[in-house]
Amino acid sequence: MGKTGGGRGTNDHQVSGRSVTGPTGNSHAEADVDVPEPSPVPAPGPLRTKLTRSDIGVLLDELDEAMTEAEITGMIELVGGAALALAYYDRLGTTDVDGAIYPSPEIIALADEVGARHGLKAGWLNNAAQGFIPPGDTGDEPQTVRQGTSLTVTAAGARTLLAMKLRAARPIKDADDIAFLLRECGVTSLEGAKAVLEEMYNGEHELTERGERMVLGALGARSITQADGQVLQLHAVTSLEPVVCGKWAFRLDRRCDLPPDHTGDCAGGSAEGIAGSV
Amino acid sequence: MTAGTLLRNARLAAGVTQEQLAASSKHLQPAISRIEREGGASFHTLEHLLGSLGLRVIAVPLTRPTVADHAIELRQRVAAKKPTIRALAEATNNLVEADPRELPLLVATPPAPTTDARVDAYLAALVDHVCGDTAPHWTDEASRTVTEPWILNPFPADAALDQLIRANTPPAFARHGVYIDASDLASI
Repeated sequence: MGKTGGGRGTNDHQVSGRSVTGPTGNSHAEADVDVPEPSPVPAPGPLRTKLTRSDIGVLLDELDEAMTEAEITGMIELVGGAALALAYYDRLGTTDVDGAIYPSPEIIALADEVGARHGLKAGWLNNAAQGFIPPGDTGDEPQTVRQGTSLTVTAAGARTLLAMKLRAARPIKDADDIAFLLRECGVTSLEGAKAVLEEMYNGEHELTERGERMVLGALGARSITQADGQVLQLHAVTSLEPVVCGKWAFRLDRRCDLPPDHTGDCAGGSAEGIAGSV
Repeated sequence: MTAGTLLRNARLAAGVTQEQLAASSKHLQPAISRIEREGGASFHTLEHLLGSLGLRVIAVPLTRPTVADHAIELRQRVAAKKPTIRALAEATNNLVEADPRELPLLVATPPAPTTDARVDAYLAALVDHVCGDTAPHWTDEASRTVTEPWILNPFPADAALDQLIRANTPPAFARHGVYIDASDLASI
């Protein structure tokens, strides 16, 4: 995080980091006056628009301190990019931190104060995605990523995150996350992805045609560049179970080429026949 | 941003060479070059040079980066051969989430060319998309449309996904030859 405020503030001639000039406006007139160079980036400037894993960590620590001071205890269950960045992989920057927040009005108000000190827009921490979180007890336990004095922060489980990503299926925004989460959840087929979406949302949401194409693509090999520049190499997924499908079957990529809606296993559809074929 | 960055960005956006600016402003080309490189210029000089480009220096309250700011970062990424998709996504979020009252100020300054025609077309399409009928004139410049369609498909080998993305592209983007699924433009 960048420093906020400016100047060293130890000199009587300085107020709020700004040099005090004499009537002539010549700040160099007094030899003993410590005059700071003008900052190349005037503050406050335009708001920052991206957050890295370490940024989020600093912000959540400061939020915890602010909550302790205000005698508020609470919790945040992160979803989306922030959950992935803190608990799963060093994902490239997210623009905000989404989650279920309890109690939300108090925590969001304090978060806005903390964010303002770092040049962040109000609402950098928000619960806008709360309505998209799978309802009820899904059995997919969140993991604790920070346990502060007053604030507990968890990240949603991988199946929850995958279901939310599959539901949204935004080509550019979700492709890498879906590729990562399919592997994290051990999903090796289109049918498996559909099952996760159906299970987590109690059958209320089906994978769209766009989502299907994205899953099929994401099961292939993919390179993901992380925030630290390291590249995560994901190998093509090899299915370990026979897949009965509507459109394709076992070619080298394990998809069926029998007629749609064929009965029985797909062509070549034995586990032995598949293992090691990719 | 330094005075030099501001001047260079404005000059490139206007499609003017340093020599041409020197001729119209009565400043010497090496002096313009030095200002752009090192950033030092008096306010009077900067005001005069920008005035020669048809621009006025004003102070406005802004809470977000402008599209010209994004173009500067994108130009640097293009020069360094770094991926531009994430930076374009940030520009998209920034403008989509902007207060409609602030938006005209964020898009008023024409962004300097990034040297990647597709990136230039994307920025113009984005501004057209978020501004609608009130989009600034610079988005209409011919150099801000690509003739070879650019389909933002994370799985480029999948022609079926190409078709789905094309069908779900907002018209403002399609006009600039850029195809992106509308779901990628929403702020959530």
